[in-house]
Amino acid sequence: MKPANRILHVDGDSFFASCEIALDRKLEGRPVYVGGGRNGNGIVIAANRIAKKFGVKTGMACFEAKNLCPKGVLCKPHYDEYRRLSLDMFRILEQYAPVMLPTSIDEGFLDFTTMDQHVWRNTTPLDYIKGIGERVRKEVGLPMSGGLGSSSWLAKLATDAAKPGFIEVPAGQEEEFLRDRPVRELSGIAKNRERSLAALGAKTFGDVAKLPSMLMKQKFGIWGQQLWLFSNGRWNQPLVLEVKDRTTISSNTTLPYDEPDYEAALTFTLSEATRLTGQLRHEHLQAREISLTIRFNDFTEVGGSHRFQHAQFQNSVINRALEELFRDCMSAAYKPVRQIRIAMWNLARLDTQPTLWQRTEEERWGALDEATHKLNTAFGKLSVMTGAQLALQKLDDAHKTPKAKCPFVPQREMMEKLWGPTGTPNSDSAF
Amino acid sequence: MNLSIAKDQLIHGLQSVQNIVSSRTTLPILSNVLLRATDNRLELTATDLDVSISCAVEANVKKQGAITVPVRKLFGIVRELASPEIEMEVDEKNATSIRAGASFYKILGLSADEYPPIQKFKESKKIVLPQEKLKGMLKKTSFAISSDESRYVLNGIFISLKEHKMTMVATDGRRLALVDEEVDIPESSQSEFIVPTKAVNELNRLLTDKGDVEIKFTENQLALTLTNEKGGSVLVISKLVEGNYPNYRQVIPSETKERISLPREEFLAALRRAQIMTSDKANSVKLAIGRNNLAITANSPEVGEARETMAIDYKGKDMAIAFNPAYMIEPLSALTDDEVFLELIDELSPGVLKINGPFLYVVMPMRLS
Repeated sequence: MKPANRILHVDGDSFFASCEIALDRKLEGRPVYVGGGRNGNGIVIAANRIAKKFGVKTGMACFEAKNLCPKGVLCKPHYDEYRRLSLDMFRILEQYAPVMLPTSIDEGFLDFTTMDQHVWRNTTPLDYIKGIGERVRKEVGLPMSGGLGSSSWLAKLATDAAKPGFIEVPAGQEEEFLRDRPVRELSGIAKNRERSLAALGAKTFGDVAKLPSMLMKQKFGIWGQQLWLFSNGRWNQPLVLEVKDRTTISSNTTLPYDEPDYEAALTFTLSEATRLTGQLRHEHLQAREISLTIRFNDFTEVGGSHRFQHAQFQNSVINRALEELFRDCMSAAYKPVRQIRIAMWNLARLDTQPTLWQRTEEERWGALDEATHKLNTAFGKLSVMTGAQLALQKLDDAHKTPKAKCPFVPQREMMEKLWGPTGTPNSDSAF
Repeated sequence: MNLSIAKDQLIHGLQSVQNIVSSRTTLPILSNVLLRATDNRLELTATDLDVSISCAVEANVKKQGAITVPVRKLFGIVRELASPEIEMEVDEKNATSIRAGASFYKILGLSADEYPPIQKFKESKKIVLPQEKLKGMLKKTSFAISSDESRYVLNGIFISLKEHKMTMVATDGRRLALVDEEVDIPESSQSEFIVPTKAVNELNRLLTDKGDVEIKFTENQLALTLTNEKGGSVLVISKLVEGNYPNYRQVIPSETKERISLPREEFLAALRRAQIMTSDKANSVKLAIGRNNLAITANSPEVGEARETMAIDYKGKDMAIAFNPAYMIEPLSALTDDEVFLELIDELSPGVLKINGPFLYVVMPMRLS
């Protein structure tokens, strides 16, 4: 008989706050919260358990947190450090399972199926996973929680129930574990689905289990049937390592100070667009739609979007359209610029293969990108850059370049960091 | 208009023309078929303003006249009628009555005066050739037409009529199919033009193995009259693609180094199987050619891999070249010969597929970075 799947979900506890403590041991035992925003004192983006006891919550303003918890320590975010610690954490976790699926900077799944036959012979699964958590805490300094179950859905729910600590939902006890849990705890169930389920009288997984599976399928399609199986403890899904194809690429950057000079803001926009377009081509993609949103220092926004007749991949074309968008939406503006957001979507594959006639733009840009990439790898980032990027660098000599900072690390990036770029099209590995 | 007509005849006529009527038309009247009854003939016409098709069938006309009727409705009814004889009558309110045995239908139509007029061909250049020949030539080239709308001149088949030779070329930039046949071309009819994809598709459907086709053309239009031995005829009128077709001669390698003779069906079947193991991201198959041996391999990280080996007659040097499998499968499926020849220069230069006949196919290999 096929053994039941055993999937472990792990999740760092108050990850950013824990990282700050790991970086500075003196903070241990004190209420710690991390502030986001430009100066690191905007809103609370993470708070450790002690701070939470005082009522500090993620999303509240830092000054509110200070009122609630005057003795708390406000830390400025160190995203690069968090990424490093996250990588250390995954490096350890990776040693324990044949398949690991990182899903965000502090979260991931491990496949422990068939462990019971050998590894767990002299121990219990719960002790085993607690041991892993202990090792991560000791070596990296990060506390972790985890849940072990028959599918990734269940493991994630178990982690939420376990926090802080570890829980195992043994095979056969899934239904019991789920019975009284509200359905909205499952990721994938938000307002709409919760409402539709409530209309059927289903508030908990136990309620869903009692509904006829036909009805679930009619109402929600394949997903409905999966949910029904899940609620009945019969959802036995193996862990599959896959990266979904990109559907959009975007950047959202708060400038280091409110920029009153629109030409400088434009330079930044174009430089950032160049970076995005380069990344797009690197992934053998091109974009048909672009949008630009500018946020002013009073948090009002202007923006616009443009759809090309055909998907585009050239800096010159995309930058020209962006510049037009920029001038359009800034024509009546007078307030300093705080934040710039660029997005490209409606992506299509970029064929850089040679043609019978002379070299195409696609092919030439592909070759150019490859060469630039090689040079920049050999001689350091930005050894070769475009005019827009150079202009930005000159402009920024006075002040430091605003770093692209994104506390959320996409899954693709996580995997690339761990195992290098995978599945690059037309690579030699294909043969 | 008042006539009686055999069900078979009416179905034949409707089948010939109705394909061009799209479900979403710019003008409401374009979803109608124009019926025009003259001496013992019923002429059916449909158009989408780019391509028009007209088909004349035998009918017993009691009163001449014309009307337009929604083609899907008419075809739907006629196809299901039980009686082999159909009577049609149009009243002054543009309603067409259809009587067949115990069935009676009335379809509301629009006046024939509102139908866009079909372009009349004045004195023009023309050639005549057997339908079978034209059909064969189209089959061997039409698969290579580009569907990339940004390069509209490639969205059709280029036809050159020069010096007793009719040459057809289709390309999408990465492969090119060419076929030329001896055709009697009058001095005054020498010309070059591009026939749009839509017209090519219709011709592929309408051309038969019997009878002749008369091709007339002007600067920007083309008319083909397909006649069969029974005297029935279909007229296809199409706009031509405007623009200059790229110089296709320059991409045909003048000299190749290695020539491999391949059994077409075996090669095609192996490619079809290997293609299953390709994916969007790894859409190539590799041909490794060695002494008397050909290995076809495909490998995509997320799907799996394939390996096919074939014994071939080859004494040249070892070579490995990658192609998009579809670019090899399509010409091989369009051909009927038992033996094909693959000519190669090196792994980065275009490969050429030939047969013992007037056909040539140039395909760009894929670069394995």
